[in-house]
Amino acid sequence: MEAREARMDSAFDHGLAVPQVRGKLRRRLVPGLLRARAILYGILAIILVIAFTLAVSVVFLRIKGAGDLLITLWPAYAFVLAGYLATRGFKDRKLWAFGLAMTVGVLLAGLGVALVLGVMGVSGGDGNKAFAVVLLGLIFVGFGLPLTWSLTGSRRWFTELRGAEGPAIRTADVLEQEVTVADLVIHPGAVPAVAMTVAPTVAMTEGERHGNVDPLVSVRGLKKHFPIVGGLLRRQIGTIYAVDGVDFDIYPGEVFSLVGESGCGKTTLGRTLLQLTPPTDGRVVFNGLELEDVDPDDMRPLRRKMQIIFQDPFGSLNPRMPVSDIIGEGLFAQGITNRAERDKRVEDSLEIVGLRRDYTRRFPHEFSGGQRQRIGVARALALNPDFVVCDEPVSALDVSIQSQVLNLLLDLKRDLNLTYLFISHNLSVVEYFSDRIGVMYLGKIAEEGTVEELYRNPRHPYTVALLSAIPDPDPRKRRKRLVLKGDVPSPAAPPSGCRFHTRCWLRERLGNPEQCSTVEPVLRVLDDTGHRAACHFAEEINEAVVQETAATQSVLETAVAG
Amino acid sequence: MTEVLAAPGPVGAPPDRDVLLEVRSLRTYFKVLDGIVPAVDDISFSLKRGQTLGIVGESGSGKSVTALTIMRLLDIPPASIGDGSEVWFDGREILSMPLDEMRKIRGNDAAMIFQEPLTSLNPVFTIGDQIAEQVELHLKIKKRAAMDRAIESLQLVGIPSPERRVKQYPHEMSGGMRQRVMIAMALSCEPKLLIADEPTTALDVTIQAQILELLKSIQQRTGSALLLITHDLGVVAEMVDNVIVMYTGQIVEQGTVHEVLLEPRDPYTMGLLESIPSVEKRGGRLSAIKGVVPSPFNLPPACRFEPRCPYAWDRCRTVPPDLNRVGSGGHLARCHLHTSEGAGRLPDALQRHRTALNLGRTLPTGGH
Amino acid sequence: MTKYVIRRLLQAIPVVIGITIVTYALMLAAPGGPAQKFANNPRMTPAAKEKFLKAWGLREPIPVQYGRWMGLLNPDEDGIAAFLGPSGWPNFLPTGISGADNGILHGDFGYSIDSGEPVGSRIARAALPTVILAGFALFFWLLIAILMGVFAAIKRYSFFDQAATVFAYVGFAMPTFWLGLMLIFLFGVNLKWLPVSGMTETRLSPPFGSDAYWTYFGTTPLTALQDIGKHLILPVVTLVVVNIAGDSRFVRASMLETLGQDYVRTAKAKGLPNRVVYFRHALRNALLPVVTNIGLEIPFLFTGAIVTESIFSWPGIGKLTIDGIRNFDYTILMGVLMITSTIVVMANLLADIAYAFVDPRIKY
Repeated sequence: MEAREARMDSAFDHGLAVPQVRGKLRRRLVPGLLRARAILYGILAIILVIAFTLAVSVVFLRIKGAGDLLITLWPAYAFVLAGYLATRGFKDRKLWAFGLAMTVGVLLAGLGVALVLGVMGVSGGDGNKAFAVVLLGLIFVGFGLPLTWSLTGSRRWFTELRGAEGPAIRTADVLEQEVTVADLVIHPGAVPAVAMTVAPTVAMTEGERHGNVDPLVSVRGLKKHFPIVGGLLRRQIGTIYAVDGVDFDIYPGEVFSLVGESGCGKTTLGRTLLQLTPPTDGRVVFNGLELEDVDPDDMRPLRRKMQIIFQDPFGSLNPRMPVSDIIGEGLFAQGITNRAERDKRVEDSLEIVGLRRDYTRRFPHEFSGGQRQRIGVARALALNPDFVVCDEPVSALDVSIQSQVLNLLLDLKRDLNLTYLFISHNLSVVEYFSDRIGVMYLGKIAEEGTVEELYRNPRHPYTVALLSAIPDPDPRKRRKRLVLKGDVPSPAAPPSGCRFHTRCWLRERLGNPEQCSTVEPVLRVLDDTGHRAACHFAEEINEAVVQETAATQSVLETAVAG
Repeated sequence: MTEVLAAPGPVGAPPDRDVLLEVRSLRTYFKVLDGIVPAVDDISFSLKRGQTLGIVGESGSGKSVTALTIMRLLDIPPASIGDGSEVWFDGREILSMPLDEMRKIRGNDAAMIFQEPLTSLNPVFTIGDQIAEQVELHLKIKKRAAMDRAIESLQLVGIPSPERRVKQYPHEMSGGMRQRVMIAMALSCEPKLLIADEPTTALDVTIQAQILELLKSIQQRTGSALLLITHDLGVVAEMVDNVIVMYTGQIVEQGTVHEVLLEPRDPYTMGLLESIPSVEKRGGRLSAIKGVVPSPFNLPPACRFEPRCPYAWDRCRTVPPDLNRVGSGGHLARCHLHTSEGAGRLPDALQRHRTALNLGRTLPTGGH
Repeated sequence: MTKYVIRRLLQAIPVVIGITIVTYALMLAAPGGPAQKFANNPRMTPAAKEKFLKAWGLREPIPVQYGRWMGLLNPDEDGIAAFLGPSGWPNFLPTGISGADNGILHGDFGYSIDSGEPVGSRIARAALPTVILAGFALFFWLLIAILMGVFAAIKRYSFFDQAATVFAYVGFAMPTFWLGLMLIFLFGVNLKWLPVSGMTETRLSPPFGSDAYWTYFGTTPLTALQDIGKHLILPVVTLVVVNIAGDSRFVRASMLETLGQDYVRTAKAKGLPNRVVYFRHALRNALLPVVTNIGLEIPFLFTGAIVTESIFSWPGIGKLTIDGIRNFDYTILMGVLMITSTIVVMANLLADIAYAFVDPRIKY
């Protein structure tokens, strides 16, 4: 407990290690400025709406006189409130529903008033004016609401609704988090000691193996489901179980890797863990803080401690921003508003990742793939994180460049005391790079263990097949591979029982035991190294069995109808 | 096996009958806004019937352009082929052939598989149509017979219920299935040469294993020659008899797969092998080739690998190296280490390579 | 697919309702008013004017006017009863139930203020000439634009490509009225090869569309067709020249993009002749985006030929619109606006459905 508090303190200091931020006043000033900007946008939206109302009233409907104008201005009143709610509330996930309800309620009420006025106008003979009011009401519902939303920065809500986000948006998302990060004050009351109550069954032995250090990141029962919409009314007609109940711990200073094929949920897991997309269920404990419980305001400084490096060095950097802005945006939010100071820090981080200091004014397209990936690393590291999610950081790079970036990541880990969650499909890279590995299949962890254990003594038939599939650059080691049948099933309809049973060679070998398709295997501990596997028959796997299976299979039967 | 890579025959004369494909002094240029880029720069190799040859290189090395030039699939202009370039296929020179003649070879005697199975298949036609179209054209048979042939070739690549599959569109299939369809299409006319350009790069590991095993078994069964283009040394080690390593449009090393991957003699190949992460290198830094591939507009004057080479000396900056013979066979490397001037430096370089391969080696990274 | 069409049709309903509101509001906002046509008539007393306005229902409150025009309200009743049709059911329900037959909900667009003819039949009479002109123009314009675009893309940077580009830009920059007038001047006035205006030779035949015309058409169909054909040439050429510019560039760009696709390379690698590669494999994919574009252009042709129709005095919708504006014939204008905007909505829907037919990847 003491250790954790000390850690929190140091995290606190670390976050404020920016010498330019002096005193509480300054600390409050910077976020104040950013918040002021948001409110300014809100006010701008309201002014625009009012101006538009006036213009339409006077020019289009030729309504004159102060009294009449006041009546036609009713939607603007609604937008004063809506705009305020948008600036304040919509940024936070829990508040946007409230804000939305309020806005829509006010608008509907206004529309109702207009309708009543309209009816009164009809009976009172002054129908023209009443009609104008109804017309204006309709125009505003269509025009004003999106305008307010877009100007007041609740884009995140829209992107979440849309679900599909390109890599450029992803970076923007992360950066946007940091723009609002500015609130550097951690409320002392918001440090719940939740990790104690998590009490993971495995973590005891794991913790012991790691010298009784608490994990930096604990993931428990994490789920992320995406709805599939369709049908006449665009209802939800299915669910993609991208991540479906995952537990693991990452200890300070280690590299924990997630491997798996495309569609296994490893990338979604990384992003959900960072709360870049809200989890459907489950808990993430970072540094003793349960992220779900952390107040949104306190979440922001934590976000800075957890950074991400993306796979695509071409899509993840905003092409219209110079390097100084790509890296500097996060720093600005950290409180470094002085341009010269910020540029110096940008140059420092460029130097750390092995790029020239004078590259700051260049744009992403002027760099090669490896250099871009270095910029991505510099962006993540400029904020002094403790924990970095590396999402396929070298997959898009050539072999010779790949090793440069891997070396860089390892050097930075050592020098800056980082902890990595390394996500990759390349098993050779993972073997070299990590301390512990989780093999994912269809949203679940199939096997977890130290590199030595997992590669030398795989205990899940899927891991065995993955390892067998690695092409070895030594032509003397040409061997019969163990080839899996078919493709990964859709994560929208995972197979019953063991998710791997449809492609499992071991099940076939054992005469298709019923258990595999009916009972879902738990991720059980196999030995005292913390090696875990989710297979009913993990004990049946050994080298001889694998050799024999590989020798007897026919490659023509590996495609499966579907 | 080494004689497969023997020096090309005399200019203008066909090679031996057992040589299926012989490329002589092939040069391909691209005219772009900033000038002319030599994408393939004086490449010669040959491939015997039924043999397999791998071309390895990183992006920009010219390996794919070589394949497209052989198939004459490049648009001219912007591409142009240098004077004196010759490609002999099955006893005929195909670069000077009229395009109509060439079309009878494409898809019939020489077929090609591409990297992206999704974009390489036409989205608006069923896969049966796409395969049958080719069969109909080359084998001069009726549409119905061609469709039966398409079903047969789908069966050959292990696609279940092919009668149903031929009526499907590419988007209705998974990535692995689509690549099987591409292979079935390539095999439908029983080609003598199969060119596979990064056939598994876009696929997942377990699917890659399926496709590689399939290619291997089909190559053995049909006896067609295979030209495999890839960036993955692991894939090469599994699949081919002979290897060519390319860098900035040139061959830097060639030999049997054992020679090139186990006893590499060009510093670039050595560097590539050293930089592959492996369990032995855990805990240490990976040895990385420093710097980046030079821009084709700004190639180093002599040896193109010299700025990145840990063994370079003065001579490397002034005299362009030739492909020098290493040992007694057909093993060639484009490096001065294998001339009399560099002989003194060779043992040291090899020693350093062996150390780096096993232990990891520290080289300055980045900063360019 | 059926579900998708139903959903799109349901979505179209609020759009069309919105269109009625906007149409009505636009007419209100337009300067003048139906009574404006008497502005220069000294015999029109204010009392007579008032009587005119009352007679056309223009002294009612705007919501009532709108309700009557839409067919929401029964013009024969007042108060709450106005919402009910003759049979006692709400007035907006179909005629069979409510007994009401007024308003656009019941297919009644009112009467032309100018001629007193029902707006519906007036528009229907003008529609046939427009469809003839638009049909021919669209056919030639698309045919030429697609061929030009495809060949320009295949022979990129060739002389043909350059020439097509120049032609496209010239056509793009040329105003319709100017081109129309120049064609009339050259072929009609100077060379006297072609008639300059109208749809038929007025000296020989009765006015197009009248009963007498159809009798004439029945007796000498070949002469009648030849006559219309002669009159068609100049307006069609005008429309085609002006409009192929944009489309041919669009087809060229789309074709160029498609030619760079991997599957075109695959088709070449299969040994297919160029004809098959270009016209079977590339063109079908290149035309996918063009389909949407065509869907959006069809209604434009219906309305956008206003200038051309006026220049050549073609008795179609365009000319009807211009005449309506000139005569302050608000009911005609609203009818035309309503119908054309509904056509736009429907054409959009059709384009989307057509897209699903040509692209097997689209599943709604």
